[in-house]
Amino acid sequence: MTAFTGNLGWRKAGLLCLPMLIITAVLLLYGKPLADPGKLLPAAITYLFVNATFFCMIYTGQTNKYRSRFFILVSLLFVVSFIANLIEVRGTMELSTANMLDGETPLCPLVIPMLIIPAALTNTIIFPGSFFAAHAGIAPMIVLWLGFSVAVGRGWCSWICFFGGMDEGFSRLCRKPKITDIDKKWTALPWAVLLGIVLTSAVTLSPTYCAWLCPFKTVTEFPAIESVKTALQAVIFTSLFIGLVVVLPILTGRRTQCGLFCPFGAFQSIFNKINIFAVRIDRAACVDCKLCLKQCPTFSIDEQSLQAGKTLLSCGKCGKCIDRCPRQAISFHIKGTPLHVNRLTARILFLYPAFTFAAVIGGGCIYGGLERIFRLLLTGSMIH
Amino acid sequence: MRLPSFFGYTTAVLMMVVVLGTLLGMNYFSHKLISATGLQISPWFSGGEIVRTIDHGSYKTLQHRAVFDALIGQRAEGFVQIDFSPPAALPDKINEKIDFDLDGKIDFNLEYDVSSNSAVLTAYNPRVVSLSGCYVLKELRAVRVRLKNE
Amino acid sequence: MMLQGFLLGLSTGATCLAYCTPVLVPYLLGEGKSIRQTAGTLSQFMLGRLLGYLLFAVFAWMASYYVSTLTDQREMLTGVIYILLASLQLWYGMLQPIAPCAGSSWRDRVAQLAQSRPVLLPLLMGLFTGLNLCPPFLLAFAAAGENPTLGYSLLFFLSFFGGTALFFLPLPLLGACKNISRLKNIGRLAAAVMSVYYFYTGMLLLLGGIFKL
Repeated sequence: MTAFTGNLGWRKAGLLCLPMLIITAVLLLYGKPLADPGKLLPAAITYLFVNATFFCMIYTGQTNKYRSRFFILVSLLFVVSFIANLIEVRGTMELSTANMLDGETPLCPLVIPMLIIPAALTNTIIFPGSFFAAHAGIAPMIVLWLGFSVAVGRGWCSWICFFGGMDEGFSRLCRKPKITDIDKKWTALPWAVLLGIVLTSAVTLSPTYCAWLCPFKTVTEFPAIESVKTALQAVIFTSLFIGLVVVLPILTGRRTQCGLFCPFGAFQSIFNKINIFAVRIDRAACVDCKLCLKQCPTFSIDEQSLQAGKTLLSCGKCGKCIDRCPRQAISFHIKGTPLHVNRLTARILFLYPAFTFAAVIGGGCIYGGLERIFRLLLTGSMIH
Repeated sequence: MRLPSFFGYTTAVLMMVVVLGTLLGMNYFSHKLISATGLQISPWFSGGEIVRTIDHGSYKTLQHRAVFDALIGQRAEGFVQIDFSPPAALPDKINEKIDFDLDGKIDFNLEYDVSSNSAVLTAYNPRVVSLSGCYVLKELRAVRVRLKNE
Repeated sequence: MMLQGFLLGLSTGATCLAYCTPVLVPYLLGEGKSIRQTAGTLSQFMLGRLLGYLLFAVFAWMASYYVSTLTDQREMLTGVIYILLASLQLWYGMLQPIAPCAGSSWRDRVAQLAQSRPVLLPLLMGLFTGLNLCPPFLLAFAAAGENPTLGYSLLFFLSFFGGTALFFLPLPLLGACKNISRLKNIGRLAAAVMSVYYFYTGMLLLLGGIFKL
């Protein structure tokens, strides 16, 4: 399998990676050496790993291969650092009513679509967090989400969503899909769930997706089981996680939670409409082997879109179809520019904003997770 | 270069500026966002604004406004939150009479047992429904009482 | 009297819209009709709603003296209505697209009925949401119940309906989305998703009412 840009050569690839070395040094390491030796090693490993990943992408011309490994590692280490942090602060992964009243809930980006209508009509945020909490405050999270969405659209789902990384990790365990025939109508389900949660959240003034449907509560924080209601919620979270994030990705080789359920993914798709970057298929080079259609992790290519030389609105810009296309007919594209010309420029211009975010947010997760693991190895405990 | 191409490439480059601006200016933009919009945490979580403070010397009782907020208008049921602070200075038992609608009449009496974090509610107003819960928070103790709207 | 009902409708119409939107928006999107056709469907929905209101006006008249003692049963009644509404939405979202085959089961009969009488579904949805005992509706119920005559009760609910109906006027614009065929599918699935919410709420109210008895 070769990618369309081919091998760039060490020198050219190195030069193209130089700005990333500087950006990550400033944004990931804050441009200064870490004084604490216990933090130095994880920070150094993170910095090297992040930049090695970017270099491999640029040098080989393969996007998805390296993005995917990075993405999965980010999600694994996110879970390690997040849970360790929760236990350090609260002593448990459980979220009690008292924690909520204290505004101690970190804002997950998945909540954002549910906040809009109540914020517009009541000028309040229907989430039990704090605006400027040290850990995932509401305001910084909204700014971060807005910046990334404008810059890369639904690229969010393939470049920085730590939950998507879990889905992707399990889908990669599938060598040969056991389920290949998935009715196209299910790709509308994320939009239906989005509509449902936005309306119910507005009516109830509470984030209903978090309360009832989020599969990732299983591996992050979940309401303390204090009643039949919270027990039922726990059963739903666990069932959805096992079904959508573990079993179905293994059986289909696709990201079923992201492509067939996640309302935030559907919401992010709207930003693809205004985003300058897209993925395009060169119809002249395409031989209709439909490998892209069969392998797209988020079900974002169908017969019609293939014929039109486009991906669907839900495209996460992961680059898998680009890497896998045997005719190198698929490429990153900048809207308004001639199709399939200056592919390298379009790819680099896309990779820089996408990977900068991934490096800073994902790099933070990698560093956080590694630091906990090193602490465990050195002191026998992940907790301070 | 055609004009759409020029705009395309320029916008693509600008996206990197957006990314760097977001990451470097996150703190600034976050504060601007909240100060410009005046957004607040929903009173269903925060308890709503404090409308009365009763000073008991070593500790204070903070009475929040009654919360019936709905998306538009008001709900049929709501709550009022009563805080006791600071936790370290609280006596073993607190007995507080509350006028939640600020009409000059006592609406309920709250007997709060600090050590067991439990309370007994005596309602004088038919709009007072029941005890919703007692909570140990970081900086205070809180009790919520369910209410009916008029 | 008319003005009182109309003003009450105006003052609470947005709340009524908020209560009805979760039912109405998925349905209107699911139908994927033009603005004009959507306006037609909305009219049918509103007719059902009006029928619900008028039915309730009669009920308000009959039960005006009884209203103060209805607390527990009111919750149960709302619960039952929610469950009926959820069943209707679930059927619409998941089962209705299946082509009916000559009268083999109840489901097919209902599907046939809905196809031969396309007015029926929005009408029933309107009726059930019209019978939704939301706070403004109960307010109107209490206000109508103040006067013992049936005519007063009917006129009051009619004017109350007029006030709330104004808020529903922009909804046919959803028909502007009709060319995106995926929206039909999304609307149907959203109806199924919403049915879970209404079923859950209905069960809570029903069980809460039973335990209170």
